[in-house]
Amino acid sequence: MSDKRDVLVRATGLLVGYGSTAESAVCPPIKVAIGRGEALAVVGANGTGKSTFLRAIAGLLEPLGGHIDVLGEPVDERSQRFRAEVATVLDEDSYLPALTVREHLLLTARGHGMTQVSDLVTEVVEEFGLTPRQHALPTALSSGQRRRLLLASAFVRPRTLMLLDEPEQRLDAGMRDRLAERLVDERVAAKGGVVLATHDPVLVRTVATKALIIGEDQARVVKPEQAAAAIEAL
Amino acid sequence: MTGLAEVTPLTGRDLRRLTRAATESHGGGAIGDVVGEVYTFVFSLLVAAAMAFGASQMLSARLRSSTADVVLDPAWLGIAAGVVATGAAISLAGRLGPVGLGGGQAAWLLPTPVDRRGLLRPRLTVVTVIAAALGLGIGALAGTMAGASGADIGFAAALGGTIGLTAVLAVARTQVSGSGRAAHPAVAIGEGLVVAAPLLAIALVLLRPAAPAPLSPQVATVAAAVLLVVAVFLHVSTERHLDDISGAQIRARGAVTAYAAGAVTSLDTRELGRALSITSQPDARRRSRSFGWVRGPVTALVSGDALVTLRSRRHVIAVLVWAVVPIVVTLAGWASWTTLVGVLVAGYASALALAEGARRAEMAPVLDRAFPIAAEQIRRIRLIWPGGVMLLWTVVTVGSWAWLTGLDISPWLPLAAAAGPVFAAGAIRGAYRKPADWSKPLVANPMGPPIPPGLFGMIAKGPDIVVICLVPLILGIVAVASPVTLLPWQLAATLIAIAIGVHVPNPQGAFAQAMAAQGGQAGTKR
Repeated sequence: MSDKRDVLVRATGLLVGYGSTAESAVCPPIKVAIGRGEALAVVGANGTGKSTFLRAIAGLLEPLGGHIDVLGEPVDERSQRFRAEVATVLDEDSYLPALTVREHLLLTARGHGMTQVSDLVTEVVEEFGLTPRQHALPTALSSGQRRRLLLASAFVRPRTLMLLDEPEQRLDAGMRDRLAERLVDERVAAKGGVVLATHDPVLVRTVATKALIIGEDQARVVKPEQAAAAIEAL
Repeated sequence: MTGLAEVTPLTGRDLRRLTRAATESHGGGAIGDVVGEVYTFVFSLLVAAAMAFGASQMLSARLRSSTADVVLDPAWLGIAAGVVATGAAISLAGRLGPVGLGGGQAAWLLPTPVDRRGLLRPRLTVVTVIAAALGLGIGALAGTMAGASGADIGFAAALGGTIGLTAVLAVARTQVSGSGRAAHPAVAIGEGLVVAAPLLAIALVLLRPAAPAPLSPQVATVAAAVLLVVAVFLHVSTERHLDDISGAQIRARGAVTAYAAGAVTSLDTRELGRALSITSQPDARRRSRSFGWVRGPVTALVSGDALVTLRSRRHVIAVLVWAVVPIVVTLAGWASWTTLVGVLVAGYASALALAEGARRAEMAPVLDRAFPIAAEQIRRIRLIWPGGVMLLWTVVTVGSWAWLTGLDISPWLPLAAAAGPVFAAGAIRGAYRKPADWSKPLVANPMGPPIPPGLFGMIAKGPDIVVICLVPLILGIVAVASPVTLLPWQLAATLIAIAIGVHVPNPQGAFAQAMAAQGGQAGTKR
């Protein structure tokens, strides 16, 4: 049983897409598994289905074929356990209205049962460059600042698995490097798992322990270096 | 820089005419269509005015059938209603005005080097006509409520029309030269009037002043004439300054107006609320709360819901003003059935304001996924805040009604407390209802534009359980049975309402919502 729980994501013959039949899948069948302490980089050209694969892991998209288990069970984002253990940052621009940046993070942390969160929130706000805007409402932030708020919210709450869709978007190089360090800590120190769709070879080389290249004909698991090189060759 | 010297620049008016001619050549638009549209608009307005007039005449006929101990003179009620309507109009003008261009027009016409004045002039004319028409209607309604008849209603309408015109144009005149970045003071002024009117009504009842002197035709005529002159001056002055409005402001107002118009067309109050909130939110707060009282997901979600309401002036005002409506109706001495309608309508409207958190979460399901709570528990937790407040709200309004009508209030308070959460259950059910599907073939409708199938079912979702599950309270207010007898029935009905309100009908609802957000279709369930 414990072995089963250590595998955080297992996809077998997985077909994903927005239609209703297997023929409408946006990418070839995917077979991959990641366990605790591992990070999977999902790479490929635009439109190959990286984000769609992430949405399937997040339980927001029914597979068109194959199987997908998250935390050792068939994916069910509606369960309390899934919501407690999986931190997701997809391309969703949504916020609790009327709450400031800092309040978003405090409420998220406390809502996940954490106490003594003020210092942690201050640290994360600083790290994501939001200190000058911490009392602003999300409607008054730029799109880059809102994106950083979403990323920050994943780091102030407990989690076993992180799902990140192109986290490098709208980050400058320094911030991207600090994010990479945090993600390495996530798998090495916290023994958590990370799945990130990315176009950034630096993130792939630094963070990933394995990579999934999604192409037109096949989806294959390779070493991070191969995936980084594939991104540079695109 | 090639060829600039040979170009003869178009004026805004030319460009507007060119665009209209091109549109008409494709759309088959003709003068007959325009006449038809004007006819439909005027006819609809007349029908609506006739219905409102008839309803208020019917109410006036029942004015003396009061059972209340304290009675407010209907003339004061007409004045209070006029103040509420004027406040609402000024607040709306502050949010939407003065003019805007949205969508394709903003993208294609604004970057051209034509004068903005010629381009925007018809928009200002439309605003002026709508303000005058609304003012006329409100004036006539307020006059009728005040017990006027015949020519006096005409004078009230004329006065209302010129007040509406002057108020909206005064707001527009200040908007053309402002930056448009911060919320316009008119929003706060309008909301202040909306709050002041029912408080004024209560103060009048407590002070019991004599009925105001009836409006003399001479005074009304002179006042209307003076206001008309002011309105003409404001219109001319505003029109001359249309060039001063920045492109960003025209786009922003156009986007909000288009959003609000879409919400009205689809009869979706959730979307309308979001559209009107856009321009009244502050950018930042002086400090952030620490949420020290939050201990886990339930308190986090309830705190979020409470703050969404408490930090929105519009929602707080809605809850307070609607609470006063049934009390004022009772004080006006109208029949008990009008109090009943007042309680039902005002209660549901207040609950809608309190359920704003759930209404937002329906639009952005990620808000429901943000905390470690199973999907089937979410709606129960979202019920806590509106349910608690509506319990108090109903105790206050029904208790006041009982007290003012000389009843023993002690058996009424438990009945009201039991009934209050029904409003919240209805609002939660309404918040999570699916929007009408405009992509399906529309149903032809002889009364107006075609509508999507299931539109009325969508609108009824929420109010349906409010009406059905409040039957025990309703029977109590119309004096069919005693509150003590009705209490167990109301408790049972409230439990049923809560069960229906928090029920998650489709276990794959999150998928459907996510798919709707993606514009795709849900995949086949294994």
